[in-house]
Amino acid sequence: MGNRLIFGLILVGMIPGLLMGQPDIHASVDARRIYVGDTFTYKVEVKNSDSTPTIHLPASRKLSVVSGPMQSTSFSIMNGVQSSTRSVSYTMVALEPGELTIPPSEVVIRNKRYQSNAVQLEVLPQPGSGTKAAPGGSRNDRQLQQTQPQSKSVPAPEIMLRAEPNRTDIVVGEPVTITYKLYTQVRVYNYGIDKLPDAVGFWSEEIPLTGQPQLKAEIVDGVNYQSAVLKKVVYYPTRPGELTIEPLRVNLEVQSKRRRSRNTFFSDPFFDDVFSHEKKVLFSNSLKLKVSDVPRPTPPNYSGAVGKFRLSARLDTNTIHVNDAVGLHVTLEGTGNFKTLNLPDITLPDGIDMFKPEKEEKVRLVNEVYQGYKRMTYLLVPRAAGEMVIPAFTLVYYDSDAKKYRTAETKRLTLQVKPLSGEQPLITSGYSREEVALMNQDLRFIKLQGAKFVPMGYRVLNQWWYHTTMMMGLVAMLGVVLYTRRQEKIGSDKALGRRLRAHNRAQTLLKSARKVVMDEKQVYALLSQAVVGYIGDRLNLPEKALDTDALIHELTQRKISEQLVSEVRALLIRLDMGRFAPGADSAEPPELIQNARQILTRLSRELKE
Amino acid sequence: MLVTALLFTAITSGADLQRLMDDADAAYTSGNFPEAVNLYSQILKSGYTSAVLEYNLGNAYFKIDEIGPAILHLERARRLVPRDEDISFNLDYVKVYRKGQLDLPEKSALVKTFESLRNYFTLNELAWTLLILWLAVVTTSILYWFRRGGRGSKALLYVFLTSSLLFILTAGWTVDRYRLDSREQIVVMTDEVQIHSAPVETSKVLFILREGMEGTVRERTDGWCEIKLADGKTGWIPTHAIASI
Repeated sequence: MGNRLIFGLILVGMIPGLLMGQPDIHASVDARRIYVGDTFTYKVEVKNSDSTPTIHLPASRKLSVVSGPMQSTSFSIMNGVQSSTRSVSYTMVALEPGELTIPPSEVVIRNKRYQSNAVQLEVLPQPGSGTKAAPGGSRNDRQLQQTQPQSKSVPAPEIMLRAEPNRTDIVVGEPVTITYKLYTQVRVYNYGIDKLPDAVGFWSEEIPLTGQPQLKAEIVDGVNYQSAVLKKVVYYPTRPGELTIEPLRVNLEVQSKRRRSRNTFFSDPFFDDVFSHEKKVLFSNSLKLKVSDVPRPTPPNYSGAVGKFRLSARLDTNTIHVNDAVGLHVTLEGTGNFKTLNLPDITLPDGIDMFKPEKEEKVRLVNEVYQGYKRMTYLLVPRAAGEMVIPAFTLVYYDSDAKKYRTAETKRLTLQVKPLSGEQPLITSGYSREEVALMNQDLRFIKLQGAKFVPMGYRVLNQWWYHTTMMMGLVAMLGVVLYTRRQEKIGSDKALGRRLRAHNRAQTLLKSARKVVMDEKQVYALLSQAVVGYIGDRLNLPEKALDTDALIHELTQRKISEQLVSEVRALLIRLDMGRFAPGADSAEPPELIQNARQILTRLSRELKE
Repeated sequence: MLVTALLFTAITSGADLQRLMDDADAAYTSGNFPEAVNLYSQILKSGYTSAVLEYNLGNAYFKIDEIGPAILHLERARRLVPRDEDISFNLDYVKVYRKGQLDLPEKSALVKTFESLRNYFTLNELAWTLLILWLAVVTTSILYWFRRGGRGSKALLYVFLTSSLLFILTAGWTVDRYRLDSREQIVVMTDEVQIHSAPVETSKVLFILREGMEGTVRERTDGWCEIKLADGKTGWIPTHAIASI
């Protein structure tokens, strides 16, 4: 019950919003002056909107969204006026010092676009670090920092995160290791990394770090830092070009020095902890890596492998009987982009059936490259006797150290197949007949056309219009039943029927009178019929009682003003006169029709009361 | 999650998606499967999906020997278009390459027919059919009501009765489909995972599942999921080892 009341209140509260045209949109922040790396809340409020707005944040390099959007709605009644406010807020972090203007956000409400106001902030440099920004954004180039020592007037930041690649000239398929290193002058209590940064065009794998990060003293540009490796990731580029690895985001809990400008009102030397914990979001620099393509032209059957490989093939036994099974092992060993390459295809002479290969893979990151082997074991079943030659396998790969293409090759293998001996060995491949049949086929090719995109998880059943249509059908059926029930009631109740039909019948007669306006006699007849019929129908009088006097008598019985009664009487007399003695009345037919209509209208009004 | 959604609002127009799709298809066709996986996954981040996209992505994952994601995406494709032969074929094909298989009794032809019929339509298709049938029921019932005893009223009555019957059947079918779709199905994504008897690391290991095997979620707790396999076995699996279809 209480719920329903609240719901009702909410509905009522929404009404003003529904009526309003332009919603009141206001963007604001919770702090006007902040430090680089500090978080603040950016809030877009929409007053009196009946639906939740969608916010498209403006793009800005100077800030980054930490979390959000968070939505909230509040209703208030002030001076008897209800209003609702829907707000969407984001937690953001400022990345560079200086005046920061957050450009207007685009606010979409019910497919209509509005603009919010721009918001201005003052971003102060990190306290104690001068004007230098915390490293973030692509502005902060590593090379730049190392080659140009900073001048004394620009002190280094007290904490920074750097992404350091172990090499810069890379070929597609060659690994690059990025070390994310934290340099700090303050104590770090805790850190967390949500996810690896986006790196389009790379195959990435993290190198697991053992134990807690070890702190090392290091001097960068003449400044003493404690450095620690937070993350090490190996990236294998899968295509050439200039590829970007987005900044890594680290949430930190650091020791903060007391700040003077803030919270002066509440600061108290006893309670204000000199080494208080502070939450901070730190971004590394983003990296742009030039990935060059393998030298062109590539050899005809280049496999895409980059690294150093050895290929070998081996048969379980060299002599077997027809229909016997023998294992063929093809092994690719070495270092390189294992994860993204396939073993060469096998072509067998006629007369050998091949079953699904068993794949075995042991690839680990060793010294920041993939190292290990991939092995396929094919089950071969010769169906005819004789000497079978299994051709050599080759794999053409690019040796990134020697910078040239090489071919790894196996030896040719020969298999002596003896004719059937007495006993027939059973093939136990461990698969059902259907599975073997499937294995003899190949994966069907992808579909190149006909991609119809739909929103993920779209369900017709969850749409409001679906249920509305269903309900409307139900309402229509009920409506028809109620309508016919009424009609039936009218049919059985003669008085009611006449009363309900009276208006329509009189209108029809008036309309036909207007059509024959030239024929005076006809007009008089029709008008008389209309007025007499209307009164008769409304009062349910028997047909034969419909002469003027009887009608007037009946009318006087009802609560009708005497003036109207006399007017009706005058009209009826005029109509009778006109019918039986044409030319006696001087009134023009249109005027008469108008007169009759007015009287009918007034009659219907007074009879209703 | 929402932040990435915001980042990708820029590529929600159909033409952009199609262009990415063409790039990905080209990568697949030229044999650069990792790049294809990369690009297809990129499209999925836009919040839009497509049976063709899931199918192609599943195939690309299979080509780089990632059986778990391959099965995951092919299953998603099949959910979107359950009648597509290529999707069903590739799914069956890929499943053969799983390292572990369940010991399931052979299904009889009758059961197979019933199941393929049951999965013939998607929930959205059923919902649309239901709506159209409902409108037919409403229209014919109204027309019949007005024409009782009149000319053609008998034909109307038959149409009304047939559509009502179909409506009831479809309603039942839709409810069934809805319940099937609401069950959370999972695929094992790691090479090998131990299934525990309780959502605790130290509890007894009941059995082992290999990459690409599927199950239905029965319950979820922090970091653990109770699953039921097709052969009836149940157990707790750490959630990092699985992905929901």
